[in-house]
Amino acid sequence: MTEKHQITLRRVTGIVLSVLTVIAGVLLIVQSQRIYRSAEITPYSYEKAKNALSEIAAFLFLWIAAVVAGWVIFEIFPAPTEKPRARFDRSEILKRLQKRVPENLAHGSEVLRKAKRAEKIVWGVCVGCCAICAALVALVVWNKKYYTPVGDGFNPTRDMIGMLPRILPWIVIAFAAAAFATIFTERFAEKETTEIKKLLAENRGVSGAAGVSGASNASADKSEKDKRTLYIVRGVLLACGIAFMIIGANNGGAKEMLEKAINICTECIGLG
Amino acid sequence: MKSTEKTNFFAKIKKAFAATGRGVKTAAVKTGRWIKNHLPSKRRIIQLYSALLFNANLKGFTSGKIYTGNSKYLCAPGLNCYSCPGAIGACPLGSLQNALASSKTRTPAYIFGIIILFGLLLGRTICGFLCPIGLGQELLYKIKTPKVKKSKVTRVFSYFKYVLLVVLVISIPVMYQTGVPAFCKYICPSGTLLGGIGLISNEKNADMYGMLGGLFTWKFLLLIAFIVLSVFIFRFFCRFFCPLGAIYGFFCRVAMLGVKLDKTKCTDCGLCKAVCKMDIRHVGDHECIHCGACMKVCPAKAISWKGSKIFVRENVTEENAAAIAAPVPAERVDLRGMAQNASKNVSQNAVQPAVKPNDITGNKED
Amino acid sequence: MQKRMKASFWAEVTAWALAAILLIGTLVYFNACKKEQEISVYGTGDACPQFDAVLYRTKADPEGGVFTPKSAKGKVMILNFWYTTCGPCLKELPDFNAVQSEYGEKVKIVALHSYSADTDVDKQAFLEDKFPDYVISFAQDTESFHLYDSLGGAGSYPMTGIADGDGIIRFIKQGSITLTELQTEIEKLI
Repeated sequence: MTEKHQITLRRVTGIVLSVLTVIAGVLLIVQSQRIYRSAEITPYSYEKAKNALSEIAAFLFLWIAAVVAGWVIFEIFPAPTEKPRARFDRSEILKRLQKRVPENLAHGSEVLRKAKRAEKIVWGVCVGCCAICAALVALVVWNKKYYTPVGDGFNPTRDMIGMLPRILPWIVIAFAAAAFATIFTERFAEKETTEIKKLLAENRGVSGAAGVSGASNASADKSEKDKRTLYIVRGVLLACGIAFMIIGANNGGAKEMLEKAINICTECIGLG
Repeated sequence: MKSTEKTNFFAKIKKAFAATGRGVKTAAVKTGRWIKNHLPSKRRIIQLYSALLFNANLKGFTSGKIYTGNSKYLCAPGLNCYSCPGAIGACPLGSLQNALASSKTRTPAYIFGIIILFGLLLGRTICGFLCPIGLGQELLYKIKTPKVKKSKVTRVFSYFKYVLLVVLVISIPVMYQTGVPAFCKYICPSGTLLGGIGLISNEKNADMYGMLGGLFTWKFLLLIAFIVLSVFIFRFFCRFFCPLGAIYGFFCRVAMLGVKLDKTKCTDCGLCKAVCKMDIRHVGDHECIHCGACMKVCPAKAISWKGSKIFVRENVTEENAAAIAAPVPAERVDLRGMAQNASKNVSQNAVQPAVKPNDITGNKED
Repeated sequence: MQKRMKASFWAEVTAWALAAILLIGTLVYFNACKKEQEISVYGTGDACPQFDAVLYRTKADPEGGVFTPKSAKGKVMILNFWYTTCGPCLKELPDFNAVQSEYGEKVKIVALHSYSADTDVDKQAFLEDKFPDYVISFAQDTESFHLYDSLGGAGSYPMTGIADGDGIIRFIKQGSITLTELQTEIEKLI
């Protein structure tokens, strides 16, 4: 088989497997939905589950066969090994270039200053947005009003479904803001990179300063101190860990954990 | 001329035998090499070992009952639901939620102690070596479909697991104070797969089907979604949803086991981050699961296992740690190289140096 | 170098050997060692086993006392197994209360607290705090008559068992029960 044919074969295998996997998943979900909607007091039963599974069993076996076939195809016609190559985002490239640019040049350039300010604004807005969203979520989640107490129609699922529309939008907004900020930063990075490359080209011979810290003594001292702090923190945590376990064993926490582990609260694992 | 015919005849037979012998030998060598290239890496073996070890109550699968003995005073380190018929230990996340759910009457000191010790001693090597759900996702990812690559945006989304930690694992159980482990109940795939399906797939528990309803249908949907997406996205659940990974991630600096970067040797080439399939920013940060894939590609050999100096001497206080940390006189040279994915993802560098201490991840794409 | 490699090779072999021994030991311990005593399990169609359960002092039983199935003869007896920190158990207790009010003297509902869970929560105080006006009886299952295990309880809560007026078990359900389901089953037996 020629190289091109092999590549097509691998691509087709990949796509076919993807489609089959998604269909397998959809079928399983559809079957469970059908049982759930079979409108009785207790919709599920062992027989129903077995029947529903055997209805799609043929397709599931097909999927397994396809997975094995796909693996065999890739064994016979393997994709060529690529040497690992570092992929840099634009902001990574920018950071490295920035190290080579001396301070005064960086300040002098109008474009760079504007880009940096724009970046600061974008991140400031993003962080502010996330903080506000976090506060709004906390206002709901830490508010006793949304939790029905026991003996009063206690129904946590109903509470959660009630809380969800009040917190989900904020979570989505916060993550969207962070994602957009990341994407925008990449855009600014591109502008900054072209500008810096221009500056570096114009100012050949100007020493690049930045980067390598001079005194190795200083870094050695610092690493000694870091090591000491690390050991202290580790020691403290070890002591805390053991102490907490002993306290817990004494105040009944260990026994409670055992009881929870051996008595299945079935709704707590999702059987409900 | 009979004797020459005879000699010719015998010579031909000898040639035939020799040729067959050579053929068999090449086949054997090729098969041997194929097997050697496809052997599971040590990390994979440790993952399989711990999945079996922490679910050693095999008779639970035939009897349909969970284990109720005293070993459940201790937690399994990974996300192994305690309602799995095979489970011999409690789940740290489930125990944490239940302990927080009674925190008004009793300080949850015991589970805090356990989690602190796990985080301190093992950190997120638990994710990479001991968690059965992590193992399941990695095996699913091996299916040969196109893959979704990581990016800066996926790193942003990886912070969602902290939201789940704060809201579902901590806040809701604390606010209710009456036994609502919200993460276990509404999201955890370990509960649905190991606990739920583990129990109801046994015919002896047929009457448990009567309690299945909307909640199970939702969790089943979520489980299938996690499974299908794990085929396309590496460790989909671990990276974006697992609060236990989030908790262990806090211990990334202080953990005693894991990968560490020697900054004096690092040339900042970026190969480690390119090869890593998790959303790390630096080797060994809170997203790193310490799988060791970066160690193999670092040209400056700046990445190594933490604590390797301690464990060079035989130290078997913790069984798994001893298996992990004992150094190997590395001998596997992968001449063929590995390229298991259809995607353009960068794969491992083929040639290994002759002697590589502490190499336990082998020559696989782990 | 050779010596070091040889030493580390043996160290690794020992480590793997110990790991294998641990795994095999664990598997043998959990699977081959007999630990459980046999408990006779009663199912639908069997007579409900006799027991004496201490009652908590609630509105239904201000003096406390002891509950025996004999005292519920002629009535449909409903036994619900729960414990204080089991969310779904607490969620369905109001339904049992409603049913007791609805059917009055025809049913006797007793909610038995599990003996293997949460043994040091002050259950009396818990009941007075959360369910002061409930008309169902609350009692305590104990290890001596282990009613939960006798009715086939496999460790999951809640569980509900219903016996008819003659004390024959007619219905056992693992898991939560809805109000409609409860009423349907009671109607069958009244």
